[in-house]
Amino acid sequence: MRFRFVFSELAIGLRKNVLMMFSVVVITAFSMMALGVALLVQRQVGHMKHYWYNQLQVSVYLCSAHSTNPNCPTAATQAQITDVQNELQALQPTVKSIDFVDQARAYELFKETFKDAPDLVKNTSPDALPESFVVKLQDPKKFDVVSSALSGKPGVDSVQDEHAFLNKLFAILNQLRVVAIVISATVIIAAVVLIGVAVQVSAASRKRETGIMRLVGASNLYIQLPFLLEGIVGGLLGAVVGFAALSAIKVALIDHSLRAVFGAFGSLVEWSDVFYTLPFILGISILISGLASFVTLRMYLRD
Amino acid sequence: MIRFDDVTKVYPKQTRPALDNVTLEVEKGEFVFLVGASGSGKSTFLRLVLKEEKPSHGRVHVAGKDLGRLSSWKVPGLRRQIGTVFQDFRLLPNKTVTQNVAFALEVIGRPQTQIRKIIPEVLDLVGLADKANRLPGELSGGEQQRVAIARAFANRPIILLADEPTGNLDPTTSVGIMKLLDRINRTGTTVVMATHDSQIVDSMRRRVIELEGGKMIRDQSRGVYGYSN
Repeated sequence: MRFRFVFSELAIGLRKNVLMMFSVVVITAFSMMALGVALLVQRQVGHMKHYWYNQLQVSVYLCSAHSTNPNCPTAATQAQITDVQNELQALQPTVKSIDFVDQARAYELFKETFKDAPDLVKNTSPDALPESFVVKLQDPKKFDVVSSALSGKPGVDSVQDEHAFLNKLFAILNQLRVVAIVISATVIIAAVVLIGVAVQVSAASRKRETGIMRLVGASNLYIQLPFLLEGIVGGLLGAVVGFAALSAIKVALIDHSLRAVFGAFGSLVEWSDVFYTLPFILGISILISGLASFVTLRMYLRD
Repeated sequence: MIRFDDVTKVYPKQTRPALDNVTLEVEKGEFVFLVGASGSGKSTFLRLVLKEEKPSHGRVHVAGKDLGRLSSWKVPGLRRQIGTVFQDFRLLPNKTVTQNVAFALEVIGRPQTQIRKIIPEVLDLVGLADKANRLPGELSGGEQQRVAIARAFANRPIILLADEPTGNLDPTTSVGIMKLLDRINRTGTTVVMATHDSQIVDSMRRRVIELEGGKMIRDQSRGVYGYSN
C-alpha cells in the first residue's frame, strides 16, 4: 500500500472540489451541532434531576401582606403559624424535618439564589417576600399528603412543590431535546446524500485517471480509497466545525445569558458535558461520511 | 496464451452477435494481426481478453486461466500482465511523459525505487529518453503513442494488446511504431494488434486473423490484409 500515492491523489481531489467540500462541511457541522445540543440538553436534565431530587423539599408559603389569594385576607397571624406547625408535626414521619424561614432569612436566600441577577435583587424589598415552612419529605412523591393537609388552611397562601415545577421544566427540556434530535437526523440525512453526490462528482471529474487505473490493473481499493478519504475528510472537518459551534453556544448562550436566570436550579452544563459530546460527534460523522462515500463508490465505480 | 473456445458475445439490445462462435488460439510469443471492418468484432475480442466483457457463450482462457472462473478481485492481477495501447493514446494531459509512465506503475503499488529505475530503461526502449519531462501536448502523435507503449510495456506484461495503434498516425510514423512493437514482440511478449492498416499488415507478413460480422473467416500464418487466393 503506497500511502504517498493515495495521499497525493487525495490532495488533488480536495483541491479540485473545494466548493463541494465547503457545502459538505457546513451541512455536516450543522447536523453535528444539533446533535450536540440534543446531548447537552440530556445532560442538563440529568444535572438538574441529580441536584433537585436530593433536596426533597416542599415549601408551605404563609399569607403575607401582598398575597392575592382570597384565603389570605391578612398576613398570617402567630396563632395561624403555630397551627400550621402543629399540623406539620402531626404528619411525621412522612415529614422528615420542618424549618421556619422568616422574612429576613427569606431575603438572604433570595439574594443568594439570584446573585447573578443584581437588578432583580435591587428591585425586591425584604417585606415583599412571604414567610414559609420548608419541609423535607421522606419520600418526595408524598407531596399530596402535605398539600391536602394544608391547602386552604387559614394563614396558608400556597403549598409549593418545586418538583411539580421542575417536572414541567424537564418536560419542556425533553421536548427541546426531541426537536434537536429530529433536526439533527434530518440534516444528517441531507449530509449523507450530499457526501454521496460530492464523492460522485469527484470521481466523475477524474474519469480519465480512474479509467487508466482500471486498465492497468490497479485494485479497486486503490482506485476508490482517495475518494473515500475525501468524503471522510469532509465529514471530520464538519464534526470539528460543529463542535466549535457547540462550544461557542456554550459560551455565548449558557455562560452569559442562561446562567443568570437558571443558575438557581442547580448546575448548568459545564465544559465536561460539552466534551462528553465530542466522541459522539466524531464517531457519527466518521460513520456517516465513510458509509455514504463507500456505498456511492461501490455503485458508481463498479468494475 | 490466449484461447477462445466457441466464444459468442451478444451485447444487450443488439440482434447480431458481436462475436459469433469464435475458436482460436494464440501461442506465447506470437505476433497476430486482427483485421476486419468496423463492427466486425475486433474491439470486442480485445475487451474479452481484458475481461472488460464476459462472453455470452463459450470460454476465454488467458495465460492458462479460465476467465469465466476468475473471481472479480483477481481481475486487476490479470490486467497487470496485459499492456494495452489505443488509437487515442489515452495519456494524462497534465502529467509529463515520465509521470504518465510512472502513474501506471505507482497505481499498482510499485515502490519509487523500482519506478525510478524502470522509467529511464523503458523510455530509452521507445526512443523518448530526451523528452522525459515534456507534456503530451508538446509531443507529436507518434511520440505520444510511444509514451503509451512505454506505459504499456513498463510492467513487462506477457501480452500486449493494441487497438488500432496507428489509426491516428501518418504512414511514416506508423512504420516506426510497428518497428517498436516488433522489437517488443521479440523480447517474448505476445502481441495482438487490431488494425485497418493494410500496408502494415502486408509489409510484416505475420499471422492474420480476419473477422467479419463477428465470425472468424480467415486465420493465416503469414497473411496479407486482403484475401489472397
